[in-house]
Amino acid sequence: MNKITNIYDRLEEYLLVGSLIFNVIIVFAQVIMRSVFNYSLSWTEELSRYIFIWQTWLGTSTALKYNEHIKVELIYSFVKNEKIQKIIKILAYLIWFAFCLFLTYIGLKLTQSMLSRNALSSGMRIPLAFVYISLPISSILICLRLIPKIFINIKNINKPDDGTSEGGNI
Amino acid sequence: MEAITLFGSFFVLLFLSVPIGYAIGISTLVSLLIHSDIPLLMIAQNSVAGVDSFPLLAIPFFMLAGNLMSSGGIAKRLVNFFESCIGHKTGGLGMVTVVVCMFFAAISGSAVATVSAVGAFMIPEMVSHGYNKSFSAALTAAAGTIGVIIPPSIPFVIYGVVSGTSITDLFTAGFLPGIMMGAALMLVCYIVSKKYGYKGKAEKSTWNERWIAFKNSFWAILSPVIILGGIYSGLFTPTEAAVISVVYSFIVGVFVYGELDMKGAYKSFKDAIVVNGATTFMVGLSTAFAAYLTMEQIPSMIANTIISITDNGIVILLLINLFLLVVGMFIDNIPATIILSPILLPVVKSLGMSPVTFGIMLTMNLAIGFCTPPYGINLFVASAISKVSMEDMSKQIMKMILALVIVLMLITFVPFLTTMFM
Repeated sequence: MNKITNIYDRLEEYLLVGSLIFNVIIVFAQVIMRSVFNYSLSWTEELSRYIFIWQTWLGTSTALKYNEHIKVELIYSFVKNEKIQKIIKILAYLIWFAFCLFLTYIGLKLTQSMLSRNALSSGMRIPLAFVYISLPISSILICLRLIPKIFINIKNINKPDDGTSEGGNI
Repeated sequence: MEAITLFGSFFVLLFLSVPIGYAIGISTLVSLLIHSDIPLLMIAQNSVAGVDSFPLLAIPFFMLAGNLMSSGGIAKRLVNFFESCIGHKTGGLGMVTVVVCMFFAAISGSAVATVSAVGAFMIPEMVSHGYNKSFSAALTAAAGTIGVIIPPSIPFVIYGVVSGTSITDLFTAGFLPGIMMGAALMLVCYIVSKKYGYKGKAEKSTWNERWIAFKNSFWAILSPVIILGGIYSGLFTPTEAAVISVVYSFIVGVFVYGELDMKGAYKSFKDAIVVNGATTFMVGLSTAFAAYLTMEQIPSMIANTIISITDNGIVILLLINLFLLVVGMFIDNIPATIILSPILLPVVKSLGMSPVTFGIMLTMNLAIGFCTPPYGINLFVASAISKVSMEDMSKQIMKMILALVIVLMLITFVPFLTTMFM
């Protein structure tokens, strides 16, 4: 299991870094073509936007892996009891989990309706479902990453916080 | 009632330490479920369509450019040059910190990137020359806020997209306010240094040494000229300028200075991806939130309430500033910008304020929040770099915040400062 998540983590990161490199190249190419050769590429802007949408939503999963999501942690300075702190943390994770489950469901429904209407992008004429499916896929990945965090916190609920409660490396 | 559910659930979720972006989505969902028969599909639709915008691509690009510049040795050379010019004067090293932050601000669009790039060199440098450590850290945290005011600026990109204001206009208008913030902080630095006798380098650099430092930093100094020149002249859009600055800093880092290796480059890309992943999706969920606000006509309700309290423009603007300062202390600037722009813009417009001036004022308020205790992100970064406790820094930062608030008041009440170039 650990091996699979490790491989997946690396794949996700390389994919995202690759997508950023790719976007830099095509947007730069677009600028050069327009300003030097006075010739506008029609597909680059649309493609770069769609890659950016994927980058943004899939990036939420990588950001969770590095624990970079922005929260207000005011409550932990009010509540000093470590057990209650853990309970609040678990609650916050559960709420987050439930919402991502909802996003997965509603995102799939939207993707489905895009498919059934055969909605195509205006420039490259690619199915918009490819773009919209980024939301449910990224949301389910967030759910998968949250599960071990929730369990580790429940398991260690009586132990003092030693930093592992963020839930390792999934 | 709808407004109470929406904002009430949002604040409860925030308080429970649910990530801000998701808290925005959840409170929208809760309000939709309780109060309306608007299809829930609207959340998914806005989440994707909200980030489907070419100007927003500037966000990861500007983050990336900032990362490449700091790992490619550009920040260090800027420091060396300005240090050779004014490092020996009273408060000189502190002023170098502020000036380098301003320059770095003209390259990167983020406050955090500015604090970490400049602070890593300047805090130890100031401390080794006898500056108080917490003062040095606090000054860097405060100067980092200029990062989002001097263009390019990620918050301006977001405000421009949300409010339909020209990003180029915002970039033009932000320049002078950024310089004013820098000047105000330098003044604070000078007064404090005079009092405590902070000097800096023992001897003045010779003109020859300055010339060498200038030559070494030439490519670094040139980059804001290219980025801002390109945008102001209308040659590039902000997104295009961002990508040019990525390519430029990559080339300078690898081929000119030779300090950017594969590892540094990969880390720069990865960090940009992670920060983009932690922030930009909020634009999508906030768009859903803002769409619900508009459907329920909550912005005009709030606007009417504010105007019914007082019709004195000065009081209203003071109240809005106070409100925004408090919001900035707790909430990340991206969701704050997206949610508050549609609510407050009609109010200030009715007072005759231009959307551009409001964008600068809004961003400046939220930026001051970056360095306001106890939750200012710049303070965390400066504290991590310098190992100064938040408490010690909080005592020092107050005079700097006061200076920044004075500039903010000038920007709010003297529209000429932001509209003169348009």
